[in-house]
Amino acid sequence: MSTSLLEVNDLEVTFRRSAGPGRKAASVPAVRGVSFQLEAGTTLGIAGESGSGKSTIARTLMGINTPSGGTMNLNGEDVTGLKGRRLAEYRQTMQMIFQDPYDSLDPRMTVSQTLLEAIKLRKTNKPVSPIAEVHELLDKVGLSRSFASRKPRELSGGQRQRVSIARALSVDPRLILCDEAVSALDVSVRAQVLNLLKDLQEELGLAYLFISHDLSTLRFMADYVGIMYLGKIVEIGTRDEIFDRPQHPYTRALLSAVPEPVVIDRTVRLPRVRLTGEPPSSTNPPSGCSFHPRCPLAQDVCRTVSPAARPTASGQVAACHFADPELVVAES
Amino acid sequence: MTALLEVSDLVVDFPTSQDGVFHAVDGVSFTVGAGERVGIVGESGSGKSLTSQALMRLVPSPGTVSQGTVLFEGEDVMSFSTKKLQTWRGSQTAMVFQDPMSSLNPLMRIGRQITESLQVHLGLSKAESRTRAIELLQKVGIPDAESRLSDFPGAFSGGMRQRVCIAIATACSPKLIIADEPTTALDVTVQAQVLDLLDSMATELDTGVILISHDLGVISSFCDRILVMYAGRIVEQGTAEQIVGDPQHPYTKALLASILKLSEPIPRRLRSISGAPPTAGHRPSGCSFAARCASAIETCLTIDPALVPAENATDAENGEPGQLVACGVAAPAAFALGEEATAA
Repeated sequence: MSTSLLEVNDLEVTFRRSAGPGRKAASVPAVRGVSFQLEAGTTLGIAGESGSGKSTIARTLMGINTPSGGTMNLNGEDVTGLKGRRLAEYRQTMQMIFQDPYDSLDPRMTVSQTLLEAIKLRKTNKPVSPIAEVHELLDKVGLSRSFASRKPRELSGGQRQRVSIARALSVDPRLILCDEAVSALDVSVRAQVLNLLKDLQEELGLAYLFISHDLSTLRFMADYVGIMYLGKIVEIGTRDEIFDRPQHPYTRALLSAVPEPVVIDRTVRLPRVRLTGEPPSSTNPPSGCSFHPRCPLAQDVCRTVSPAARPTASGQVAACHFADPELVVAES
Repeated sequence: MTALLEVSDLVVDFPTSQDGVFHAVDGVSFTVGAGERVGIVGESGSGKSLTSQALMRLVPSPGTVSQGTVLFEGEDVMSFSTKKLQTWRGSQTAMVFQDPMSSLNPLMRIGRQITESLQVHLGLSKAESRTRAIELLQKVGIPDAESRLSDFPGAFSGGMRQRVCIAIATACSPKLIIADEPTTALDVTVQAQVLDLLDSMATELDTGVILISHDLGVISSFCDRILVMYAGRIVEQGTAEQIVGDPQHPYTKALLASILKLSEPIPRRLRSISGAPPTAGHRPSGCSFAARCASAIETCLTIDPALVPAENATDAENGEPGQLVACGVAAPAAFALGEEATAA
């Protein structure tokens, strides 16, 4: 079972929050025991609301944040807490694309300077002709070669995100972490970039860890989907398991809250699963199941016992005392 | 019947670097009835927010409203004196913005921010306004309303802050609320709560609402009527059912096709709209969508189509504005009434 491209076990990330006006110093458990595997050439989507810890996972994988527990294996090699040169090497295998291409590109560098910088940092497979490679990368992301001499301010949002993708591809990664990579784009442009990411996956055999709060985008992109709530994965399974047969009450509520541009008969409008309240602060997560204060199914046990993640009859793994009540699986 | 709000031929200009002007909003006309929920949908730069700012007379400098009238209950908003404008903004109309943190004063207690307008606009006493503020906070679903009056905005979560903003907006029972991307910064489960709240406030007070969003899902689930904006113009308008169920303009169709829906099978590829909207100051001659349009014909490049009744319009007879579309291919009258480009 160690053939996965990426294997994350029991990852924990805790931040220290310093004291400020009107608040005490505290430790904030942002990620609380997250495990998942990602196979080469596939996409794992991570959904969740703001503050659920999804971006922290990506940032920890990239070595930006330091884990306080758990392990991360890439190609079977333990890469937890790497530093310096080893970290730089490891980042060749794994690249990241951020939400805001306005912030992640240097405004003073032309597109070709940005890409050349990345190409020259490559440790293996030293470039023979860097300029030719720049052109090749632009071709790959669907930008004409005339873009090489432009600066970020001369590009539209979609074009900038294409440049970010080209930069990520410059080191021949196996895995790209996409953190809300299309969230800042207008819908018509977003569709172009999503299609591009899918084409590149097919062509280059890339794996994606695709983080998004937008469930319909995840449904399009992902083979597997994990749903996060307050630092934990509460449900994880194949795309169909999560979208067609959600078991966790939070997943169900999340899916039913998405407004869709479809004709609805307002007279027979179905009552949605409406959650009351809001995600609690991660500084002080609720006892038992973190979701219990907002959960329509919550019972006494939910307030005291944190539910373990367990397989359900419909296939996926869910962390809920009452998901799939027919089946009782002994904890192994 | 006079509409609550009647906007005609509104134009907002921005100077361009070449000493010219650019019509960021270019001849927009629409009405909002009492209790009606009108949605304006469009991508960034389409002029949707600017339209709402213009009718509140809040266009940011160096922009100016160079043309058009805005009638509020038959009164010309453009001719209001500064004093009248202030009274009108606070008591008759209200705005809710995307980022509740930046529209609340971080250094002023929530209670004071609500009671301020009650005292100024309704002339309530300190004690009366405090009682009313508690009621308002309870109404928008904030627990322990009384004790929370003395909290600063920083003590509230994003969704709670937006509730406070809605409480402030509805404090003086305005006749019109303009909500500009009110849920864009919120999580989807909280978004649903805030939209429900806005909906029930509008129903209770018979308030007209203009909801501005880039999200056609949000717009169509909330609004009675939808205006679709592209490059500073309304390119299509109709009821939510018409726009979502039977769109006529190629842009609306393409927009709907490029949105992923959970209720539909997963497409192998997403349909996208090639190219990008025209940038500021580079409006093409003819239809501004022509360059990206799959159904464009040669005439589209020379004639700027007018907004005319759609060919399928059915409900024009009951006096309500039916579905309107600015596309000569969908409705030939749009070309007949359109403006031919002067030799470029």
